[in-house]
Amino acid sequence: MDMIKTMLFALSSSLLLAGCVNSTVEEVRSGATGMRSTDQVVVLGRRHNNGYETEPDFVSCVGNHLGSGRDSITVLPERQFVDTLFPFFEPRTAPLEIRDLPDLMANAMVGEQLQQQGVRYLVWLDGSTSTNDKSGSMTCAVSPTGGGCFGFVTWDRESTYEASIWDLESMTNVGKISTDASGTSYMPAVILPLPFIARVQASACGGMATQLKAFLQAKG
Amino acid sequence: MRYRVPSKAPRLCRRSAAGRVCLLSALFMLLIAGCGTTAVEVTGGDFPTPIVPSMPLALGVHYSEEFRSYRLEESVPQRGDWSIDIGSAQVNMLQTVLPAMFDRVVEVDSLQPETLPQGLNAILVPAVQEMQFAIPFQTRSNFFEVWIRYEMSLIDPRGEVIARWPVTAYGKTRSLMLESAEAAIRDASINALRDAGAFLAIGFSNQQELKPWLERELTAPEPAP
Repeated sequence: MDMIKTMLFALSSSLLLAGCVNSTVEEVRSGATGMRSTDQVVVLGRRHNNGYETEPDFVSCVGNHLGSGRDSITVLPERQFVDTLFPFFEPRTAPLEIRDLPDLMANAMVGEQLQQQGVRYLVWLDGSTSTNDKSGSMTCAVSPTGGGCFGFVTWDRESTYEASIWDLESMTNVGKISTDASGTSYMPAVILPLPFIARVQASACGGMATQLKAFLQAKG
Repeated sequence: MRYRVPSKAPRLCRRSAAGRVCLLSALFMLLIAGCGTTAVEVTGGDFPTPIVPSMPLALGVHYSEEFRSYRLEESVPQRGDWSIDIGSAQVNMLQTVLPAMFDRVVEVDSLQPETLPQGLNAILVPAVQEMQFAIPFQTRSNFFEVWIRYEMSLIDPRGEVIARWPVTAYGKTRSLMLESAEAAIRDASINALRDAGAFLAIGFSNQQELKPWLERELTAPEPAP
């Protein structure tokens, strides 16, 4: 009974400490998909932009979601894929548009590597999570007799990502999935700071991965 | 019966108000230590082998002492002095990339024609022309960035310059909460070196300055071993 009480307390505490997140996912399909048991997927982040780059932890989060749970998909780790195909998927050399793909696939060494690894779909993730509108203030002090913080801080975070799905068999862009998530986090402090964090990026990752999994496994 | 075990710690740092002062002083010393030189040594760097067709040529490579021990030293206002050593990592990168691009690669200590091994088609001499870096404090972004500009010289075995061409490289890494600035600059430098390797591996055969020489060497009969 004590165990159940502890679990309920932990659950309610974690719910209390999480800020609210609004998230939307949109899908545009332009080609048929479907996975054979031997097909593999690679999730790659776009890193050629000057002002931002798709975070590696977001890319691995989407990959891990796809590769776990019911109807899991075999996902090749990004780093392993990029290293195996060095130097063709570096930030400066990676194909940016689907029309660049036939030229790349015409390279016998690249085609052979992709075939060896059984890669059917490339999923390009482009976007980032940013923090906007920070407000409030907090002061912390430490003295020989003790220390503490006082104040209230709030900040908004926004995630915007788009996934382009390339089918290497048909050399077409079979669709796009976009996700937007936003949320406000709070941190009041009276002696101890108490963070209420809105898990914006995690929400965008979950939404994107669930939609991607359904998209890749759907027929038609 | 309770015994009091005498502390082995210095008297000033025992649990007391003076002890807390001692701790605060130590923390302060650690903080001001951050204003000294930030030394980053980029070692190793696990560079992948490029998948490019190997050219049927024998290439000598001369790494000068300056190239092997290249270090950028720069002062950033309000952020202290920085020292970034990329010497061994850039040699490591070229030692991985070049053997995949050419049938035979030989490191040569000197460029004197009489000391060169027989059968080389040319000798490559890489040199760092310029290196720059930026930290988030300077750019107001979330990134640590590194730029490197190399000058590659290709010299024939008689000592005459065949061509010189630039190779530019850029690498960045995101500023993470629990990662040190040293580790971030190290990652950005490795990304820049990877970029240089990618540019070299893909761009070598398309380099305008090298085309006449490549056409000549690739159609000429193989030199005697």
